[in-house]
Amino acid sequence: MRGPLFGFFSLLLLQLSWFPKAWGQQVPVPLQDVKLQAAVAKGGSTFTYKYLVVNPAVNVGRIGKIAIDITRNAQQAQLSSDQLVNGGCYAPNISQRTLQRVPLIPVGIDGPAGWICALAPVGAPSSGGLAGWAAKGQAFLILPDQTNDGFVLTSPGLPGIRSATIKPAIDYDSLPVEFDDPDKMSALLDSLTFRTSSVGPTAPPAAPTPLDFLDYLIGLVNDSGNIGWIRVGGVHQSLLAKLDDVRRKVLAGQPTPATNVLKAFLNEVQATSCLGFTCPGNKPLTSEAYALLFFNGNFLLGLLAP
Amino acid sequence: MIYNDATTFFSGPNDVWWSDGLVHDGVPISYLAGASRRRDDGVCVGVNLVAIDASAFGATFVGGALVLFSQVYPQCGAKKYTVKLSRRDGLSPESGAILYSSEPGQPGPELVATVYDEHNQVVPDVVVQLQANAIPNAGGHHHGDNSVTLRTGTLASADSSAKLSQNAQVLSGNTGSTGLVFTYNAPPVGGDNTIAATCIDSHHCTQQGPMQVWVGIKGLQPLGDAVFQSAPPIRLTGQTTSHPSNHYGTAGWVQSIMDLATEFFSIEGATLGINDMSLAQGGLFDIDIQKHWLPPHILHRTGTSVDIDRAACLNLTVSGANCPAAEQLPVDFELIDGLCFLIGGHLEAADLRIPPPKGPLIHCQLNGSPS
Repeated sequence: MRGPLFGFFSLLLLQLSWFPKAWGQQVPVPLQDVKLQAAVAKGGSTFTYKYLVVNPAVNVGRIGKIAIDITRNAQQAQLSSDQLVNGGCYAPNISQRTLQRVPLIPVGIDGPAGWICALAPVGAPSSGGLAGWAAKGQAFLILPDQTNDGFVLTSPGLPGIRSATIKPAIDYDSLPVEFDDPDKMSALLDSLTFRTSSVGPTAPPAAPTPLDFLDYLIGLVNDSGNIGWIRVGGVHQSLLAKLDDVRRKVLAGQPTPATNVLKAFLNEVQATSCLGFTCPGNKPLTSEAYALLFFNGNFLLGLLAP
Repeated sequence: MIYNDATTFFSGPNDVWWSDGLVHDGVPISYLAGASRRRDDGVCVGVNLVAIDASAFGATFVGGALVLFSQVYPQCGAKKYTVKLSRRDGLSPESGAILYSSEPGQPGPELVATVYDEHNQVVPDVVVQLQANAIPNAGGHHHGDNSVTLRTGTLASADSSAKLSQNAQVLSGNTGSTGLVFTYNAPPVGGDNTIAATCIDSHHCTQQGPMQVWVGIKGLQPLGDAVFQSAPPIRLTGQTTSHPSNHYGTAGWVQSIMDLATEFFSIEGATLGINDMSLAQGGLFDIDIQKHWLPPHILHRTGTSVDIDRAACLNLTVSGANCPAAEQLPVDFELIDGLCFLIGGHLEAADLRIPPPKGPLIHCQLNGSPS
């Protein structure tokens, strides 16, 4: 028996001596169930968007990069960047360069200690732009079972549904050699990126009409229900019914009754919403739904007002 | 010493002055000069002029003789043909020298080799030979072995008379009634390449017109300027005698790298060593002198890559790769990953394993850019 065992271990040791890094090589595991919660408040003409990132204990990966789409499309109004202030994380050169290249909703950006933040291009040849945050080093990564709520945007832009990406840190030195192939590396990075929807600044159409914006608001109610930001079906239906009523009255040329129904819609949103990341009771609307429906509803109110 | 033996020298095409020496005050001062001409009756005649004794710069007309050559020197009376290259799609050449430009590794448009007589009329059924060549040291590659196909590119033709040789670097075929149609496949290496054309049957022809194909990525710019090359936030590193200019990128990428380095400098107070980007004309960037024209640089072809040294330098007066060990600061991978992300890029594992002295490196690649 000694002969074959000795041979086996000899072969193993020989292989280890040839491939000393093989033991340390590992393929990163994708992030799961990461949460990016948004809460929005308004002061004057500026909205403040606060984000909470939750890396659940189930994950192995540590979060190192976060981005929210803030691209402005050609049909949207150009908003002023006056009075927007950036925090200590702000990378001015990168951000200014991005502003020269990509049409963006104006934002001020801030982040937690140990993170850099900037207005960032998506890359080439895309014309999109992001509000991006990146950890300055290992010490500042968001570990599994940790949260970080220091990510902030300020903007005159109304809350809209925005795509967001969250990327884990990667130990590049431990990647297997197969990932020297750029195609395989690209596929790996793609698989590791956690994609979700959040609330971020957007802009109304350059020349909004009450009916078009009402239809947009109805779309926000439906999308909020689909994403899970409206957690009670009855509330969802009630809100839709009110907006349908507003629509009928607008079409009938009855601006004042339409306005009154819209105010009732706003009251219901306020009464049934969480305003922050957490709230007492299990309210039907999350902070994201509140931000979308309350502030866009108020904007519509301004359009309907005689 | 007097050269007046016409049998030695008069063998050129008709109507061409032949001068194989220097000229002083308009007079040939060494060897011979002469002219031959094909008369209307087809007989080749020539005049043999003499110039002697270059050392004295006193060349004088010693004598001349009208002689008949056609019996002895058949090429003397040959017609004066030219062979020209053009695009089959009719598009004009880019310049007097450049036929067209191509990105590395891309097949080009259909080209035509056509032979013309002295009256610019197409001469049919001439057998021509085309040869793809690379101009040495072009495209940022200052190392030898310019004759391999990875450097020269290859030729191809669907014409039934066409024959390929020398690993498809040479193509011969009959021009038929309208010219020999062929294509040139640009090599993966950037550079200035030529397609030389000659007639290889009894015709004697010279090539005229553009014969060069510019292979590369248009619009690449060098990183930094005279100020940035010697001051924060960057140090340019990685230059070699084989590739002395290794810091080219698209205009946008060059700016983004400066932004990345500026931000790094503001955080760490150290200068980043910017290693290989792309060569002046892009294309395959071979860095191993044992393997000319082959990777290991897999990317670095389109001006959208950058390798960053793993050690930054705290001594701001140091330029290049000369940072003393005591003043080197290990570069935090996470920080570069984050900064690369914020300029629209991502890290690649491709150059992690490049051995010293160049490597190991951190590779940042622009998102969505072709490899």
